[in-house]
Amino acid sequence: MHNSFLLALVVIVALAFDFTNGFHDTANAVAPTVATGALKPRTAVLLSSALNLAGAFLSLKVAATVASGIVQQGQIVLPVVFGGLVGAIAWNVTTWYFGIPSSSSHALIGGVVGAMMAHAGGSAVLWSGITGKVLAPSIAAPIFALLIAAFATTLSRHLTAKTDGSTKAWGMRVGQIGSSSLLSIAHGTNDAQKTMGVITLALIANGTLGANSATPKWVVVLCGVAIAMGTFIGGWRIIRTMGQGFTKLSPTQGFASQVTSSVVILTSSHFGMPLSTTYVATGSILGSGVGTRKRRVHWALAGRVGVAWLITLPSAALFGAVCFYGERLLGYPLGVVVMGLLLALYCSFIFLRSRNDRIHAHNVNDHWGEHTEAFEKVPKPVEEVTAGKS
Amino acid sequence: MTTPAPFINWHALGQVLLTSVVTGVGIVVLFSVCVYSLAVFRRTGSSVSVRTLNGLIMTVTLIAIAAMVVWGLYVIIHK
Repeated sequence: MHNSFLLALVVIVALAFDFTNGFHDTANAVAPTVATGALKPRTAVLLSSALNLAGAFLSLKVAATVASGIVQQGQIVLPVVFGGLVGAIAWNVTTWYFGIPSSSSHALIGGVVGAMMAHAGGSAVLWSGITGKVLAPSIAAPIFALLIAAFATTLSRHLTAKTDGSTKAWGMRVGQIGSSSLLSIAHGTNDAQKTMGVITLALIANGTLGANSATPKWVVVLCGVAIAMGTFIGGWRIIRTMGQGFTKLSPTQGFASQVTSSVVILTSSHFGMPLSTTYVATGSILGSGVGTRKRRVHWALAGRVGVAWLITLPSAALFGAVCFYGERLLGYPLGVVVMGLLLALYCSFIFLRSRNDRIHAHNVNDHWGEHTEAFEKVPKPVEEVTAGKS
Repeated sequence: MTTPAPFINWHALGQVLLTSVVTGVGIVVLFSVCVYSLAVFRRTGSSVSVRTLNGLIMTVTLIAIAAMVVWGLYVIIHK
């Protein structure tokens, strides 16, 4: 089936998803940097944006996994890809509004799986691929990140115990700029590729590319630019949750968590595992809290975020399936256009609602009610107190 | 008769864990040593030999970290 109009719509919506992926996940790389004051918020997102773009060109292994390991390539049609993307964007925008660091990757895979099940039933989904390449790494990686970050933070705390607070804080903040940069490259490498995989899937479904074809260069460039632009906008709501909500981050914790996230994400990308960078970053931040002397972690918030993680795949799948049924009910291409317009309306509604309680670069580190108070009850780390005096 | 491939690639997951532990903890430890040496280097009253030694440690740890990062990115790009 060759349908240029539908294909163009799918590519546009895929790039829109990549954009939401960028702003939704800005927090993964910059939240600790912003929370500890290592960089000014706007500078942090600008740097992250440029390095996300660079990261998009590093590898294509994850793109290949998404394009060939999730659903039967032979049964996929463009409205399925479109429905999956609409489901993913709807879930991303919703979780962004509530400041929940959920997985854009799971939203994307869930959306495509839901639309595919609505189109061709469960047999068209490669359940072994979902289990082995998506679920297992997504469960294991945040646990790895939590343990490694806790261990690294503990070691770093002991190694620098006799260091004066101001030098330690300054040194770790400088280190954070490097680790944040590495994490941004890692994010660009892992996440931009997922959209590349979906566009490749659409090109295969349309007959533009043959089965198991490589991702074209123009797709790599467009996806890199879209995720970089999204990152530059900055998902300040989620940056606040990750920077202030889980633990009171010191520069040492910020550095340890960002290094851990970077190595877990880059290593997983190397093995072609499309894991959730958000879950890894969250695991690392929680681990850095566990690694402090007081074990300062807001587990109640972590639990609520955990519930959101559990429902991300099925919720995005539901959104994807509903969108696909809507498209089929109205017929093609009218159904696709109507669903696209409904998505645009929904996104505009969420955006307008978010203006009532606007979080931006200038207030992202402000006092955040019960979340900030939870950490004010315990004394600050020595390095923060000393750095404050210097 | 060939055995079907397992759903979960435990070998790859194990390699992710091992590599992440070695590089993640390694970089954080090296950088912490670097920060400690920096503090000693800047401390007033340190002798020239102590300052030289800590300056050397700082340089070596920073080079080691840069080498680990560059090597890691090289492996990813060139696979």
